[in-house]
Amino acid sequence: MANSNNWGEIYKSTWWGDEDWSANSLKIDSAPPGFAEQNLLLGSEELNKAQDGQWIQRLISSVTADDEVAPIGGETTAESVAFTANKQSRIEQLVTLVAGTEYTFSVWAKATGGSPQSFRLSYYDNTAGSGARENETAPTSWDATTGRATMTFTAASSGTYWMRIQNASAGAAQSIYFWGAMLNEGAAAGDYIKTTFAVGPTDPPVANAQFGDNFGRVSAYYSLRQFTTAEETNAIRVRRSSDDTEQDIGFDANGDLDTTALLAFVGTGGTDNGAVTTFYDQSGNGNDATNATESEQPLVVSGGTLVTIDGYPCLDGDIGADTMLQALDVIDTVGDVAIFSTYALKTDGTTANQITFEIGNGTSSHRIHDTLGRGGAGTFGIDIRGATNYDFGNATGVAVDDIYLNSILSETNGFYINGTQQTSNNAVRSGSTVDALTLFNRGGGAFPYKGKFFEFIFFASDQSSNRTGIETNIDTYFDIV
Amino acid sequence: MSWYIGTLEEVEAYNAKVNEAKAYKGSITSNWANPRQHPDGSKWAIAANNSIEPQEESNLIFEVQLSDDWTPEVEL
Repeated sequence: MANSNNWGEIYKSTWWGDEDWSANSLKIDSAPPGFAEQNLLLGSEELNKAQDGQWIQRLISSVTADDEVAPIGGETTAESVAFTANKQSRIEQLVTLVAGTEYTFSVWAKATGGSPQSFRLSYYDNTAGSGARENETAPTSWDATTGRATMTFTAASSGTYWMRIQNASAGAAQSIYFWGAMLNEGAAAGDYIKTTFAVGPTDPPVANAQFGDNFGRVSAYYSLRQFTTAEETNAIRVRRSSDDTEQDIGFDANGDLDTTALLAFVGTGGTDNGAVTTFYDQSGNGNDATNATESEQPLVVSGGTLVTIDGYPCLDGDIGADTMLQALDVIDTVGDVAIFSTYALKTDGTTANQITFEIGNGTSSHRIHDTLGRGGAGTFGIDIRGATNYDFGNATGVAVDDIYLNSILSETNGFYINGTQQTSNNAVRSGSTVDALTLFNRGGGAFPYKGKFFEFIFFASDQSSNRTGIETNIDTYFDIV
Repeated sequence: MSWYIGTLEEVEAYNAKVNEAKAYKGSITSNWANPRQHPDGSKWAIAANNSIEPQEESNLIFEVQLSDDWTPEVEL
């Protein structure tokens, strides 16, 4: 039932809550319990509208308007939302909330088919850089009374928040009817209040979301920038040299590495080093790249100073030993793949045969190398080994401390440096049996990469149609080209 | 980073001594270094910890850096 009590308008109060009351006063009152004063979401029954300021779609398969009769109201209809098989698949709307205020987020849900579907209600506090979520189940029939999913939380910050309706499953697509999205103050969902989007110009465009909010099916994501605003993840686990204790380091409110927490933990003295014991896979697939051996761990803080190039924090492989971080069982058999690695040289390029990464099984017969110095000083090369070996690339003119993006794709897409194709030959040996991903080296060691790593993104799928979009996303963040 | 050169047994003994002294407190790190074999198979190297000397009876040889012959060519 829609609220017909006009709460929030000026009226002679019959409800005064905790305030003193005068019989002769007129007050702008708050609504009594059970009556929401306002639905803070717009377009509560227009979940298909996806312009800026409306329900932004991230990794969504489709949203179909007016696809089902709504649970209450009779004359209204619900939208069906088809989530892709990704926990970041969602629709979301930006709202402004007040710190210390309790809110309840709610929506009616019903599975479009004969099986219950899982989804999440969540929020993300853009000021604090954190959020929370609750898993919900969409039943196979509407229930006007009990079929409303709700999530109550207290805002930690004053500022903008993403309010999200998203898939709860990383491995299965979900198809759900939604109707009557609402956000109201208070500890419970109030009587439903319909809202609509204004006709005319919309709000200014919202800021770009993170990489994982724009590109799905990522198999492994290692970076010092945040993968998605939908999940709270850590970037790295760091061992400090002063006492060998370790601590996880995450991200700040902007999705950048939390360097304040990092330096507070490691220290800023001339002998304080911070070594990376784990480069977390933020994709959610659990492919963390680790190294338990101290002398092989790359540095992120050296001599009390954050390691950076052009202001971007990075991992430094020039530690004098056999640097590497390794994730086991990343992929079993190479089919279509796409690899995007962002790094910078540290030496003058005269040191040959530094392997920036390897995907391989520890033998020489099946692996993908990205090798610095294959063609001589200051060159990149790609070495693909399988039934037939490929050795190509060897682009020259590589400069010290410049940030480079190498893209390696299967089939006829080949190998790119900073978006420029170096070869259209197949840069992947399909059918190769592999297991591990090694960063800063090959799996067997002995070829440490002495430069710096910013980001490594691995897809076990064809991404040729997304290549330019992915490269643009990376370039936009790291300002490479 | 500097290195100690010797037999496999000698470099492993040095590594064990460093590990005992370090008594790692973190959840990931548990080892100082991995022995590295020369490409010709004749000797081994291990990263030197500047704060910890080898055992007195050790015949390990200290090197400021490994010579180029410790790095094999990338296999083609």
